Amino acid sequence: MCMVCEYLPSLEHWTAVNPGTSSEGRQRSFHSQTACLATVATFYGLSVRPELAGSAYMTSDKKGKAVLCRTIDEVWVAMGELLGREPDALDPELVGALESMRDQARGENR
Amino acid sequence: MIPLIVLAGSLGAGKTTVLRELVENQRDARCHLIVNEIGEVPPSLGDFMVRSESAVVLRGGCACCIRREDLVEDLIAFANDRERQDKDVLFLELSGIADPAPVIHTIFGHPFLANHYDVQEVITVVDAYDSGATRRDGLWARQIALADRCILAKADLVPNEILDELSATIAEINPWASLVSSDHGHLGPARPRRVSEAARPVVDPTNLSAQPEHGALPTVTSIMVGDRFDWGSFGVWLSLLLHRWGHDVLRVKGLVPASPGEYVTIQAVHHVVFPPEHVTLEEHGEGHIVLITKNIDTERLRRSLDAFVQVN
Repeated sequence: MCMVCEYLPSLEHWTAVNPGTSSEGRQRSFHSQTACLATVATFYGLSVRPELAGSAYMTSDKKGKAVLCRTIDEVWVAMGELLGREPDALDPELVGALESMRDQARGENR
Repeated sequence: MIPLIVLAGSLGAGKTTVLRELVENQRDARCHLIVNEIGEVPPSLGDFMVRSESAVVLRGGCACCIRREDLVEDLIAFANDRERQDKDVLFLELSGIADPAPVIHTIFGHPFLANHYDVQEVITVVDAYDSGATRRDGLWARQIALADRCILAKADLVPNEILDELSATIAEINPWASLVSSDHGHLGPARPRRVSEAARPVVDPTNLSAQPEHGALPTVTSIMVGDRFDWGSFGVWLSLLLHRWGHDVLRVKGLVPASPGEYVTIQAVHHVVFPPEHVTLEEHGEGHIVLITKNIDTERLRRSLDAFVQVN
């Protein structure tokens, strides 16, 4: 167990580590992770939302097919099954969509 | 946790000579060996000429593939040995044709081994006297790419210009690996492996589009990250990248800022991400992520990461 943030490497996914030492760090990190996952899922016409008090994710398509996933890695597998193709972090269309969202958010903040 | 040091390198590179030196340098530790030979003919343990507390020879196949289950059994047996002591260190010498990545995968993916072994270092022995034939081999570059430390064996047999050229090639493949020469079987002075130094890329971090001159060599992408670095989005990006491209991502290493003076380490080999650790450094600066990949364009990686960590 990490003495700084109580992360249990053998039990938890690596993304569960608390990046900081504050008690809010893990929560903030979880929220940004969930929001990012939801954005990627929306791009692919799917939805991902936290379940079981944040210990799992429900990945579903618009037809109602749903898969309960314990880790982010399982979310990608489920997305691949629901989509019939693998989600890809380097997909130019996904990256372009994320960049457009970022530019739009920057414009609104000005 | 049992400290485990993995030793890789081409056939005849000089791994056993280096192993002997490494073991002799471990003054306060009790050293144990697991040596993998691809041949069926068992070498006598005396051939190793390595003074160790115990030695197991895993022969008749490579531990990274067909003998992997035997390796798991040997590691479990060693961990369960009732005579084991706190001062024990285990050296695992892989065969010359072994890829260290599946071995590391096996240890991190095995519930028992992951909780009993601490993979402290992957050391790759590079044959400085090699004519260049093995350097065209993809495995040669992979063994270097996965190393924390590279040892240039037989450095006394080649002129300095060749050593300089080889050192530059190694640094191009793996910018963070420390490099030591072995002269007449004796290791030269090593740079201290402090996390802050070891994890810092020696390549020009501003040259994000640098491509290797050699087509067969992996691509090194170095990305600096500032205080706005978002761990949550980064986790989504890296896990998605490795899901689709893990086979082509040889290594990821990084140190990212968490709060002033505090960093989190990132290390991955193909699909496997090592448990991140918190590191406190007096010197506070930008963090960085270095990726060693094949078949992935540097600009695509950089643009993708930038798009993801800026999502929120």
